Amino acid sequence: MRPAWLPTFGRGAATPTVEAVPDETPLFDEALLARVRRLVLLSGRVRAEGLAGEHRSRRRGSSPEFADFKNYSQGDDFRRIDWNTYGRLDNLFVRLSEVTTELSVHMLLDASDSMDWGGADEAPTKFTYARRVVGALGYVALWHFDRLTIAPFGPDLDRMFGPAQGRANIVPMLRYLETLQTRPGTSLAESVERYVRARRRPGVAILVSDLLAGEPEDLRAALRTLRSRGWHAVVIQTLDEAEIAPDLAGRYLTGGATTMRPLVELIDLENGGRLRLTPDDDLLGRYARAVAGWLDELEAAARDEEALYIRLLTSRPFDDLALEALHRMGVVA
Amino acid sequence: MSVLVPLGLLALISLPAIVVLHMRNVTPQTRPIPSLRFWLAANPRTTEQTRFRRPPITLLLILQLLIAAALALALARPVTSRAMSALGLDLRSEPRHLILLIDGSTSMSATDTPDGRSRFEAARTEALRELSDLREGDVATVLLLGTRTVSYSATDGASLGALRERIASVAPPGGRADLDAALTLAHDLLLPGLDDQVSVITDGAVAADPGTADRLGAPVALHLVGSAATGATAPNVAVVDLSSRTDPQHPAQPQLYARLLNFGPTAVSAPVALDSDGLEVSRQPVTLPPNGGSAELTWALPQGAQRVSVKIDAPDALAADNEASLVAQGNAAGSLGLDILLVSDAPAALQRALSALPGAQVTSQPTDGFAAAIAGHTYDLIVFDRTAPPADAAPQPGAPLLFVDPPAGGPFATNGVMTNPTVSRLRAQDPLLQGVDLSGATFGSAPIYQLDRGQDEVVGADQGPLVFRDRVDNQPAIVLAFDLTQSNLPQRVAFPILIANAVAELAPNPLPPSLPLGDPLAYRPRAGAATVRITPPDGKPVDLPVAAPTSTGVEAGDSVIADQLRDVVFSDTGTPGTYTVQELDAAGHPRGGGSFTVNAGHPRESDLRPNPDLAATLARAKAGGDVGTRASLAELWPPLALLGLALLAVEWIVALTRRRPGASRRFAGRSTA
Repeated sequence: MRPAWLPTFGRGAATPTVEAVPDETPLFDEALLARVRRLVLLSGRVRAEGLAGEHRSRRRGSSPEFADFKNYSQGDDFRRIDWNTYGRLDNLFVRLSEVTTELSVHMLLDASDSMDWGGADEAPTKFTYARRVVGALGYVALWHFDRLTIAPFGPDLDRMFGPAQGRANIVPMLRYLETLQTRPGTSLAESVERYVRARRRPGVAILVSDLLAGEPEDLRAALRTLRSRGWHAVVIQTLDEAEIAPDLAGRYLTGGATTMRPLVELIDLENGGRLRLTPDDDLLGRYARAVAGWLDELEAAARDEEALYIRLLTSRPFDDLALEALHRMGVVA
Repeated sequence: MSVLVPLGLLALISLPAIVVLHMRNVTPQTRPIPSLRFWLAANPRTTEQTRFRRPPITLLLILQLLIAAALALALARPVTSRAMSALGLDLRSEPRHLILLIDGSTSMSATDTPDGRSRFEAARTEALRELSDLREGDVATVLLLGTRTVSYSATDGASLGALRERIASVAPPGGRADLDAALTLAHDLLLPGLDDQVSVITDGAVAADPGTADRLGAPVALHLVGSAATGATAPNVAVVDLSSRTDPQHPAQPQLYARLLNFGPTAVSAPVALDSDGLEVSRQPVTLPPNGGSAELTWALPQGAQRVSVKIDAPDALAADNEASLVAQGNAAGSLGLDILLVSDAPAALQRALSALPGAQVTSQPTDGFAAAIAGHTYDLIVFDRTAPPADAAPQPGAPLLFVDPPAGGPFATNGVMTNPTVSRLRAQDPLLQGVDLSGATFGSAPIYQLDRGQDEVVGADQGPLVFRDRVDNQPAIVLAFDLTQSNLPQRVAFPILIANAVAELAPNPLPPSLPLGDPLAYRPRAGAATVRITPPDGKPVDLPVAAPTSTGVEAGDSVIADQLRDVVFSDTGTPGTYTVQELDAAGHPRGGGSFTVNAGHPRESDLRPNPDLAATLARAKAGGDVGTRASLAELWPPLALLGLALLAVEWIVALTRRRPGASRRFAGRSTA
């Protein structure tokens, strides 16, 4: 028997066409969309609700999807008695159907200026990469009739997309992602708390950010808020390889020259802070150690708060390695 | 290695200047990053804002130092030995001036090259190869050596192309090549400030004077073609001389003389044929010893022959010199017209005798009209009969004189009169008396002329001369010292012969019977000729103007010069064959003509063996003065300048790359300063 939550191949709404962003790689292409169309979001511990979704449920009811038989008992609907079985077995059985439910998917997208950065020409910016992640997961959700909300946040929550349901919202969702712009400043914990408080029912909260704003404790606080209210949290951290690899960081600062150690002035994209330094090997080494420690703390915070933590590097092809990582980590199946 | 402009080295001070510029602490380049937190956590050292810093060893600094060094050295114009050209650098300090001497002599017509072409064709190929090496700005001068050296020059790209086309189609001028004259001319053509180089393309069968080579002032490159280049020996026999002369044993019989030479390494036995007006009249075998061995042959000149030729029938490398021919003067068809002025009051006998001469035009004039007769007109011969030119009126310059019974008190001194003299002295072999029989001749009463030294008696009586030669006003003169009216000579057959002999001696046919190859024809045209038209064997006539004679206002000493001004010189005698000459008057009407032959055989040109001393002689030529010194050097500034420009391009690319960090495009418009 074919599970009801499996996506349908090659049927349904027309494939949306997404125009390319000038001077940048298109957010989505047909090959990527065709691939994510086969996926389905896993809800984890979050209870799916509603009647229009495609997610399997323990609830039994009347629906075309057969689930089981049970002996007829008083009060059962006569219309659901299986008369063919009665003819063969001479006992009354009632057909039980599986009730498919919908999933509430909440995509929290970091739209701060720190996301609009890339350390190399050949890789997309973190914001572009994050929008692809959000777009792909949103596509999966809408394709399977889940309820989708996309909430970009910077210093506060921005104009949101959704809640939306159904495949007809795929194209508007993708266009919405294309129009998003970054803003300076980030307040992760406050934005998450404000968002959760505004929702009565928990769902799957997928946080897509570089997590550079604030300390790991801020992330821990945000995740604790989600967990305490029954949300299933997924943290997808998008980073540029030049942020974590010391050699690439040095190459970016020196402009590619390997023999030079020029004086450079760093400008913080979030707060405009400036720092002059000469990137030598010692400094790059200390930088790498600081980044590694920070990443460890983030991972520990997510683990402590029972959140799924996935780190994606923009240098990796999204349609290959990123989707594989999401699949491996249980976000999609 | 040295430098031509040492001041250019001052540009090297740019090197420390560049280093100082790089030592400055300039405004740091800004780099936007997502967050400063990790850089702050890495605890970077505070960068001090000092004025200078330690010189950074960067790629840009190294490139800029190299650029400055290369350009500074280029400004100093370093030079090195031209030997570096052998390494393929092909460096030259000055534009070249290539003086190309191409041997176009008759020996270059020999076909002893490996591919069967003539030596001149091989020389042409070599010349075109030399010209193809020239570049824009180079100058080329080509001297084509032959009977008359012809020069071509090219000073720019267009004219160089035209010069190549001309050389590709030029015909060998033939004749004899005078390499010394060509080297002297090349010395005069040297251009200051240019890298003069002389190339001689020859078969080696030429001679050069070491002194001329020493004075040349430019190095000479010798390119040998023909057997000299291959080391082989080209056999060649030639008729090097053909002339007519009087037979020593029979003075009345003209004789034909031919000299044959064999320049080959082996003896040659071959028949020699004598042709008379196209008919073979004699054939005899002859054996010529090797290595310059000769044979001399004589024949009696066939009666009535107008053109005779001698040919040796032996195949060799140069066929043109195997035959020689000449035009028999006495028998040649046609003759140059004679303008004769007869000054006489009783001209009958002389008029008849002179008018009988072929081509003669006789103008008779009474004795009192002499001055008017020579005014405005020129004559080839003036005959004074019983008169003499007035003492105050010089006869026409350049015209020989025939006096008959000149009066006492004239140009010839007399001492009395002799009556009925008889011939007692006679110069039997004198051409004037050839065919003249004076036996029985009477002379009546005749003055006794006193002969001085320089006056030459031909016929004499006991008391004095009857016929003698003299010079009057530097003109040859023949004197018949008796009165024709008292002599019976005009009634005798000897008289017209004597007059004809006298005219032939005084106004001989100026055309030679034959000319050696390359020898110029120089002759004085008849007095009435205004133009001489010479038609070479190729059929293309050449008109040579004749200077008008002057009869007035000319001093005695200048008359010779005035005569020489009328001489016609025709030097294009490099092609063997028969040349016809026609004299035209001022109106263009022909006045007479003749011919002569040019024979290819020549003791020097027919010797195809290369001159073994030529290479050593030409090697004496060296570049002279500063030009030569500089020409022997090769400048290095062009490659240095190119190196500097190439490094500049690399530095530019590197600098552009530095200004384009990976994410700059994404931060366009952001305030990063």
